[in-house]
Formats: sequence, C-alpha cells, structure tokens
Amino acid sequence: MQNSSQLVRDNLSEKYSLYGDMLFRICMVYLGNKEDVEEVLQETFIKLIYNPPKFTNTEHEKAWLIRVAINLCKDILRSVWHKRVIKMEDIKSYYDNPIDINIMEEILKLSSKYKAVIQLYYFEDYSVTKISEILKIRESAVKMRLKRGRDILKIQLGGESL
Amino acid sequence: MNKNDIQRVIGKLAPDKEMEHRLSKKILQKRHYPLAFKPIISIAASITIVFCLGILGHNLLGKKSTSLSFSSSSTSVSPKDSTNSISSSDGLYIPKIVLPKNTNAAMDMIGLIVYQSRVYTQTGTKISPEGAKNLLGEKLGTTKGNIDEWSQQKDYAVEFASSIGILDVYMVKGYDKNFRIMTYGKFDGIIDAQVYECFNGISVKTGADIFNKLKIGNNIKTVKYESSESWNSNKQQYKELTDLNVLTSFVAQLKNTTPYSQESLSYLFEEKVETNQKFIYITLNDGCQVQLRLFKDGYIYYDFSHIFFKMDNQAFKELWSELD
Repeated sequence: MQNSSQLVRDNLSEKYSLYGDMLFRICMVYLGNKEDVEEVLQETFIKLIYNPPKFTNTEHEKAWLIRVAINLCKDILRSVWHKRVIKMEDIKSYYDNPIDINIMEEILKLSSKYKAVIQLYYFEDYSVTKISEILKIRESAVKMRLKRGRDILKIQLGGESL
Repeated sequence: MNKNDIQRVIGKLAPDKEMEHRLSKKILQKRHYPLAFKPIISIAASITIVFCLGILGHNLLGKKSTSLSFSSSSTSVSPKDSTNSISSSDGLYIPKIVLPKNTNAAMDMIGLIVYQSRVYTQTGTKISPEGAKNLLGEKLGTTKGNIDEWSQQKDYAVEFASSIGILDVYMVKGYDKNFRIMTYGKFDGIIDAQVYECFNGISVKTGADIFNKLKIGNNIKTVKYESSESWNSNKQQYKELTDLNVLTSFVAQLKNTTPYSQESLSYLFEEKVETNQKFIYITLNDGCQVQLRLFKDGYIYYDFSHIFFKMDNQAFKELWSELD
C-alpha cells in the first residue's frame, strides 16, 4: 500500500506543479470561491491519476485537463445553491487595489461561456483554433464569444478596446 | 480594460501553499479507480521502462505463426513490426507475458499481479464496494509490491509479485480463479476492491473463450452507455438503456464473435473517434460492472484483453442504433 500511495503522491506532485496554478486560475474565474475550486481540482486530478484517457502529448493532456475542469465547474454552477449565491469575498482577498477588484468583478459577471474563451485567449494565450479544440465548439463560435465578451467588458467598464 | 489588465488580475489568482497537500490527502482517500501507471512513467522520462507483453499470435488451424508484440496498456499500441498484424478468423494464441531483452522498446507499466505463474492485469470490469463484500472469496495471499519501472525479469518470477503495492488478494466467488482474482481492503473506512484478470497463456478461438468467463448472460441488472465525446472528455454523460431486449440479443451473440489481434486493428482507436465509438457499461446482479467499447463496423473491445471481437450479426447493428 505504501508503494502505491507514494506513487500517487509523486504523480500528483508532478502534475500539480505543471497544471495546478493554471487550473486554479481557470476555476476561480468560473466559480469565484476557493472551496468550490478545490473540489473541482480534486475531482480533476482524481480523473487524471486514476482514470486518464490516452494522451498523445503534454499539450493534449493539458487541453484535456482544462476541458474536464471547466465541465466540472459547469456542474457546480448548475446547482441551485450556486444560482442564488455569488461569493465575492474570496476573490477580493487576492487584491489590494480597488481597480483590480473592479476589473475582476466585471470578468466574473460574464456568462461562463464568455469567461472561458476570454481567459483562454487573453491569459493562457491559446489560439482560436486551439480553444475550439479544447472546448469542442466551432471556431466561429469561439470568435463570436470572444467578440461578445470583449463588447460586454468594454461597455460595462467604458474602457479601451481589447 | 486591455489585455494587460486581464493578465494582471487573473495572474494574481494563485492557490495557497497548502492546497497541494490537502488535495494529495483527499485523492489518496479516493481509490475508486484502477491505478493508471502510465502518468507515473513520465516522471522518469530518462529511465527505461520495464514491462511489455510479448504476444505470439498464430492461426490455430493453419499453423501459420505470426509474431507480434504490443505494449501492455490498452491505450498505447506500439507494434514491433507493423507487418505482423493478425486477422485470422480461426483464433489467437496469447502466450505468457515476457520481458523484452531490449529495454529500449516502447513499453508501459500497468497494474498486475503474478499468481501461480499467471500474470493477472487490470481489466475492463469494476466492482462496487457492496458487490465486493458479497463476492469476496478465499484469501489467496498478499501482493509484494515489488515491481516498478526498474524491475528485472527475475522480479516477476515471484509468487504475488505486483506493481500495485501491498494488497490482499482473494478469489472472486462464482468466477474461475484461473481467470479472475481481486484485491480487497479498507482504507479510511472505505472499501476498495479491484478486479484483475488473466488474458495470457490462453487460446481464444471465439468470443466465448473470453465473454463466457465474464458471466454476463442472464445476469444483467442495468445498462448505461456513453458517447465517445463524453468518454474522451470525461463528462460522464451516461444514459440508461431501457430496452434490455436489444442488449440481451447482443450479449447472446458475443460467444460467436471472431477474435482479432489488437495490433491488426489498432487504427480503430484513432479513426473517427467521435462518431465510430460508443461505450456501454453493463452492471451485473452480483455488483460487477463490465465496460465494453463498441466500434461502428461491428468490433467490440474489452479493456486489457488486447483483442478485438467482430460481431457479424444484426444484433450489433440494432444495439448500435439503440445507443444513438
């Protein structure tokens, strides 16, 4: 038992160092509170460690992890509890600047389908084609969501174009 | 707002230092799935990996032997010689697992137990905790947990040698111990049971040689299915199959299917994945759950058997249609 436990720990440690921060960011933008994010990360890494599909390379693995994490976030967002409660206190703890808090609040207000493409495009630097592959939606849909996400953020903040 | 604003605010979101520790603890408590050792391999990228299956397939009637080998992972096929594929309708012989002399061969690590000179590997059948309690048979021994990526051939020649750590091994009531055994234990109060099956050192002439051992017929409790897209993305979007008559006809025909080596048809795993594959999960009355992977043209794959079974029968087409 010790051997397999250690293997799991080592495996998790390696994967967490590679993907932990990225998945945390994606899930925080989706969910807005650490408890739910931790639950999603737990389930995501369980799937990776105990029941992974075949990966052709590390990019494939990364894309799969993003997709799984986003799907789990959606599951949580669909729950009745989450439809009624918006947690902001966790998010605020990451910032000491009211401008940053304001920007993040605007991002959090976006529909989840816009959040995903905005985050993957502007922060994770994925191309439209790659986002299309990760989210399993057409490139035209990615472009449309990017445009609408940009429009919403611009209109609500009255700031410069993205 | 501009790109820099987005990058700055999102970049400030970072997990606390204790999160990895908490996740590790929780994940270790959740041992619901068979361990997949493949990711572990990547940790030691510079170290040669240990284990592969040596498979000798031959035409049982024609005696035209054809040598082939593939990795022990069902999802990673790496034939030594692609010209050695087998498409015999007369059957396959799968010899015992051997270690390659050439350690540079493409190889994977899988969960396995050595018992009475047979090698039992992880399988496409899972078992529920409740089912495991009922199916728990005579204790056979305790695994040694002595096999890892660095093991040598002599390490395998030990009773209860294993790559799964140290676990108690039991017979499974109602099943042939030469084919199926199980590990069973409680961890933090949660029952963890895994099934291991022996697919080597056997002749497979028809589907009956494998599927009869699974005891699916007249034993079906429920059936659910999943699209390839859901499976590949781990969405777990299962649907219940309500018309069990279609499945019953399909199961009845499994014994008549024709075996083909995995190597000869490995392209099926990659071909039009989203439309050409479907997954069914058959829960049996005893708590076992058998996963079968179906391919559009009538092929059926049971994980870790390393064999495709072809069903040339209307029963397959009717089930395939039912799963839409």
